[in-house]
Amino acid sequence: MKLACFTMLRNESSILEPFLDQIDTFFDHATFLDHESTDDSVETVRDRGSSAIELHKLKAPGYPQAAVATLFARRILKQSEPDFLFLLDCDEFLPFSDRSELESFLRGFKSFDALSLRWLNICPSRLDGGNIFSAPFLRAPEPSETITKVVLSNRLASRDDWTVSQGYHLLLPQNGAALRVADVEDRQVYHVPIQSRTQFHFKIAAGARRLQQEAVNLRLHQGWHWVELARDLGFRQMSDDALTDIALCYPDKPPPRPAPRAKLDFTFPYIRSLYQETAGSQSGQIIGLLRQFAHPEEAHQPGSFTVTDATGAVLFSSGGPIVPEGTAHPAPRLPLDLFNGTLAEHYSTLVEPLFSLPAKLPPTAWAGHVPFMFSLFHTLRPETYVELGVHNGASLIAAATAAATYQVPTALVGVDSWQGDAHAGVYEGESIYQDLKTYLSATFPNARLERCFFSEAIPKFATGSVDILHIDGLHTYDAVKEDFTSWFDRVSPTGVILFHDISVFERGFGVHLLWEELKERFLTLEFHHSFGLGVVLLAPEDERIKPLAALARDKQAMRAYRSLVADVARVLPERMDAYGQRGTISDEANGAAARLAAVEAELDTARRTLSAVYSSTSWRVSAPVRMLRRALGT
Amino acid sequence: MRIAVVGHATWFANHYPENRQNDLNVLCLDVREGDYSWLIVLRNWRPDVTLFYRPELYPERFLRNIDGVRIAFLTEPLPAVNNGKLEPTAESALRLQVYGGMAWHAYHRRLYYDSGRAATAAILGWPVDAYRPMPIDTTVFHPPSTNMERPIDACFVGKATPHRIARLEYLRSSGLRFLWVAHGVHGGRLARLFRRSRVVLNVHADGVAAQEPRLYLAAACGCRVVTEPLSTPPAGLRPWIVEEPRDWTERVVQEHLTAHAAQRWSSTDEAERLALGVRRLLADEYAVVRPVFESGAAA
Repeated sequence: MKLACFTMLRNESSILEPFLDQIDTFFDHATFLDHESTDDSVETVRDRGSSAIELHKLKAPGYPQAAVATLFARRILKQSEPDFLFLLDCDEFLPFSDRSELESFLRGFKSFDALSLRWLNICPSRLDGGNIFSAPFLRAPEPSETITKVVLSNRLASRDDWTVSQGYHLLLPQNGAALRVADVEDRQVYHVPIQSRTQFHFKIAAGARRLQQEAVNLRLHQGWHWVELARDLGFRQMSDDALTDIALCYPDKPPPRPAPRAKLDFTFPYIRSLYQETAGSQSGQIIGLLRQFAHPEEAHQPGSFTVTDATGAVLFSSGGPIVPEGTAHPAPRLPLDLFNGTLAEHYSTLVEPLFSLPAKLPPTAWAGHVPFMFSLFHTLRPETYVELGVHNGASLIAAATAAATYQVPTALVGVDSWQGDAHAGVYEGESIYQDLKTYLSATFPNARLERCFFSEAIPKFATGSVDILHIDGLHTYDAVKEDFTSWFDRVSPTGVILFHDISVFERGFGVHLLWEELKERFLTLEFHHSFGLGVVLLAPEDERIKPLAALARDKQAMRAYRSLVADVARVLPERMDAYGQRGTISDEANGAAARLAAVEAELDTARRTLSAVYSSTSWRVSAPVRMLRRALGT
Repeated sequence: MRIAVVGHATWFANHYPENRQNDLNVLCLDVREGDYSWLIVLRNWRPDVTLFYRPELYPERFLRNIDGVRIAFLTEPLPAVNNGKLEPTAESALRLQVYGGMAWHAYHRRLYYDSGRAATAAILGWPVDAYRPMPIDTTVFHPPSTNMERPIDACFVGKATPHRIARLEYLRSSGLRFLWVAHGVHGGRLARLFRRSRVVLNVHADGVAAQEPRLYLAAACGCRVVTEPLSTPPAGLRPWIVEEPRDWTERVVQEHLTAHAAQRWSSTDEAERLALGVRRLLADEYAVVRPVFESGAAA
């Protein structure tokens, strides 16, 4: 028996080695079609060095899986003449222990045109990004009621009256053709939709953005829950339990009371390699998100595509006949506006530093701005950084890490009373202060804390000595204006002033009011995620400031940059989890008070998130859509 | 190429890359023990190659996420082997415990400073890739440019142990100008100290034959290094590193002072000094690892 497999892949490097183990075990021939991966997926496939594997490349602004799979399926059935052709994604695994078991299963289906296998969602028992195959999986109680997985037999090789559906779930007859499909009930393909928290973030972000760009499905009221899920994930942390529920019900929404979970009793004996999330695979995913800033006119042709072989020769292209192999045509270049103009010119200053991580990330409403802090330090190389309102120290630690990363001998000073206020809430500040002080003195000796009211610290700084002033104290209009005016002369004439919470419009937050005034007088940048960050550039013509000033003046670049920073920030907590560096400054020894403070801080973050969502433009704009969806019961 | 070196500045600044202060492509990270979160700085910096001194200290979860080639340079002494059995001393037994935390497979290359301990590493099952003397910052450790005065007859740098006290104590009351620095001098100050010394003594902490980095630091400064028997012959600068099996009487030391006065720094010596450089080591090791690393098969 001869068996073949066709697989499309895009940024699958983490799970690709285990998937290739499956290919080695079961298949005589495998065709991989890479859809513009930006991680090292292509290299991983190549490095297997298997003569049974052929690798092609797909260039397409959309995701024309059905059209491409149909073309390839016909080609493989005719040229390689397998008895059966499987169409698998990299997150799908067969339920057989070895090749002989698979062959004995398939022998009974030779008289069919195709098999329809059941599809069972499974989920790793841990979602922290470690090797998911080292522990038993959890399984959905039942296979999907609606989704199956199709396997084609060689009886289709001589026929053209069929196509494969998107997702390889169905074999569709054309022109009323009769197809004999065996409905297999006792075997299921295992599907791992969520491999880790980080992977799921990327999957959802990419999927939602694609849906929004293509718009076709959203207009048909399909896929909205992905867009909402992406927004939910962006704004709040989901528990592992919630993610597991999503995985086991994929692609449907989990019901309010999910069925009890069970352990999968299959352990994938054919998988020898590790599932591995590395810095490289994560960077590749982020670059993949960036690439979705495709040229606008491409979004209007989501079905267009070109397939090239390893030499760059075009094999297929949409709308035309199959081009004979060996006829070389230049593959169309994917236009990437993002990397033209301002962001390309200042890539190393503005973009590259965004992918940095802070040494520690305590609970904070500020987390979304950590990536930009690195760009700011890379650009300015400040001698003095002062932060008004430190609390858990997330932004101060990010600044200290940035200074160390770029070898800037910055004096970093955090000023706070650690008593809380009407907006941060009253918290047990003593232990937070002590923990942070201990951590900084051991880790970043150039950072120090001043425990006092903001006004009391002013005399400790010479006029014009502060390169970056970060204002994040009490957020009423009067308080923040007082902070701004009283500290203004301490800031260097070429300095930068940061304001947090410019996008919060309730509970008496008045930063947005001052921000509107400042925008009239200064060149500014603003970010809207994580409650908003305003950046005032006092000397736009200063050589160091020029990249930021160029960004402030280029609205299109700033729009892309804003989105990029939010995307990178969205997965920051999960990336920090890989190091175990997320959490409070306190450890267990620091007692319940600190833990309670952390919980309260998270609760406060959640409250502020909710109010920010309700007051956000996107929430208001999307209100009619939500109403319509409720009315339609979708 | 972006180069990073991780190691306690107090002990390893002598072994940081040459001209690091003027090169923005070099990041030298001092070590703060206990909380290793500062290693994220290294990840952010995305080096092409990183040299880790005392690699046994660093948690694997940080190492795995650092880009580029990761070279471990193990610098702590190991027990000697006698008749196929380890012979730990108090010093080396303690170090063995510390090595328990070593994440061997998080590094692409694992080097040990003393080739005389290859048998020990084999018994322990350590995957050491190569044995090389600890590299030195050759811009700091070099002979004096002029015929400057060397007012110190004999010098020893290292902490006091019973064995060293027994070996060196008599020099305090001898007619020689003898200086013993227990700790606290490194980098440029240590190099200046060596350039002002004629003979530098090397006494093993516990009397067991071994190799020590100070051999090369001192010899690179044009000192005559008089040492107890080594575990293996010196890996360079042999005319300047002399094993002295006799008792170290004042007369014996005087003989070496006389020999030093007659010695001249040759072009071969200079070539061997430069071969001990940190950048040279990094270039060599990167060249070894790079093809494997880029194929994705390493570590």
